[in-house]
Amino acid sequence: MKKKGLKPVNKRAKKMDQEDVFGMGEDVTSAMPVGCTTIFDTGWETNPRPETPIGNCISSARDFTSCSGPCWWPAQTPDNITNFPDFQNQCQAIEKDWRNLNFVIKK
Amino acid sequence: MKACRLADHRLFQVDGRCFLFLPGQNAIFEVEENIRSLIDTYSHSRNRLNADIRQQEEKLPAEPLRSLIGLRVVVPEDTDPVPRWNPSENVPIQTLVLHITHSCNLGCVYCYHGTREKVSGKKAVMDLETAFHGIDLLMDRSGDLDTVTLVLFGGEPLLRFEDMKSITAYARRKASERNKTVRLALTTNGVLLTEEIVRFLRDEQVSVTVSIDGPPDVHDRYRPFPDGKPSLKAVSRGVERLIRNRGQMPVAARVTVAHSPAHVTRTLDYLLEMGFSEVGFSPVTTHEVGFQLQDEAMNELLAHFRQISERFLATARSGNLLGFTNLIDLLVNLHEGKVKTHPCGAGLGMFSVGVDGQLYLCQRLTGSDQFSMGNVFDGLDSDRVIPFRKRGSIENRAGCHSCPARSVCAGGCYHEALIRQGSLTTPNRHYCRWIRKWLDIGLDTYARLCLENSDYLDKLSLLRGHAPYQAKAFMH
Repeated sequence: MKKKGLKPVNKRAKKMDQEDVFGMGEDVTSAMPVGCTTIFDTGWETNPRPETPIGNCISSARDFTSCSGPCWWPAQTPDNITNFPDFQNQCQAIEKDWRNLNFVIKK
Repeated sequence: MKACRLADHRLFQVDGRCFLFLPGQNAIFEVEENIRSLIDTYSHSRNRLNADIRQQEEKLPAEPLRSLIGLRVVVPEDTDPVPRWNPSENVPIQTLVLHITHSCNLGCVYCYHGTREKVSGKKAVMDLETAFHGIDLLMDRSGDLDTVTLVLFGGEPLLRFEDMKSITAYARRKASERNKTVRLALTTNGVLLTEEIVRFLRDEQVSVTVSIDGPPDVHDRYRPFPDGKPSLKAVSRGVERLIRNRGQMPVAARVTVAHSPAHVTRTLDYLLEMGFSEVGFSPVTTHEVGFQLQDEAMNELLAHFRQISERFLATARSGNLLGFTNLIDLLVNLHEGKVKTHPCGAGLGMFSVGVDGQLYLCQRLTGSDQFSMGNVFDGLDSDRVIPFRKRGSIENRAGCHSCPARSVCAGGCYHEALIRQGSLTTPNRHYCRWIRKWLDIGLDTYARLCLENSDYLDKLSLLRGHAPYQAKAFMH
């Protein structure tokens, strides 16, 4: 049983089990890269800041602002390090302010 | 992360084991006690669920919440309850029903083709050219499908046995020109099944469905000859010949249940005894209130179905099959786990051709000009087909969106809805409760089979032409 306590029974359930939105079955997790990746992927470094998500790196925090459903795999979000440093200011607490986040146009 | 909720679900127990059914996904899981109690907690408090999710946002949610999210038991608040239909989707035609004649040698009291007077004045026989155009359309519009199905229907199609030979020969030739296989099916009342005809049906591997209502007291009451004389003896002679000569082909019986279902169990036994491989029951669709099954009769029908399902299980335990079509279809539906966007294939992969070559949504709606979908000479009329597909999608049936049976029912028969609810795409509200109870029986039977003999479910799926499930390798 891959999922603790839930055993897929019919074909649909088995398919869903494979398509788990995290894309990470137990057998895959061990193959995850350790440390930050070289391109735009979320890294796995410790986030020293006290904000959510505690324990993740900055790029991961940034991806958090555009996550979809329960999935926080990186999506395209404005670059808030050099070009749009204020992007996240309108969103003090992601849980309640995420609706304020908008797209940006590069000047 | 967005606010989440539990997806609508049903927990049920079988032999002390707990199962979870997700109606929106048509998925079935066996769950352990910790999951069951967690779902129970969350179903009482959405705040607690979201608090747990927030608390765990610091890292990936821990088990078991992670499993619940991964398997879509916990979903974002705004998750659609039903799948969306993409109107631009190109659906190949898979099945074409040819009404080769309107004439019939029986005078069934509940026939939806109406009395002779109603069809008189219209052409009663499909000429061969029209039939061939229909076959061409089926081949042209079947896309990449390897196998297509041609259903010979009527009236009584065997009244045109000689032309049927030309039609099947033409269909075989056109199919082989395109490297396709054409499966032939025939629905008959059984009266005309002579030795010559049953040999032809066997050699051409035609799947035959016989409309027959049961023992003499039932059958002859509803399915007499036009002069009122009983027909069962003639039908039985034909059926006996057919079953003796069937070769590899299964022969199914189709029972229309009118007025009272008291005979259903007896009829099942009677017809299986005759040698039918399967027997399916369907309540009559009619304006005639006297023939309709009212609430009490529907409850009685359900009681029969429940009892037969118990027998089905007992038979399955001994490794055999009790040919009860309704349950087999439901179990296969649950096993395959497909989520329906539409109640049936009418107007999607299936069309019906009237004797004059007009295309209709299905055999039952054939002849009603308002439901014409084009004709076999000019093809499908997309100005009618596409809006119908959109209208027929469960998306547009708000009443179905929270129903636990939506993925197997999706609103029910269009023709039944037209007669009983006044519009093709209104949900069949008069049997909603019935379908839900029938689904419960199906789920219970399904779970028992899972625990006792899960290979049996794969066999049932094979019987309906579905391939077994194959796990894909992870692509990471």
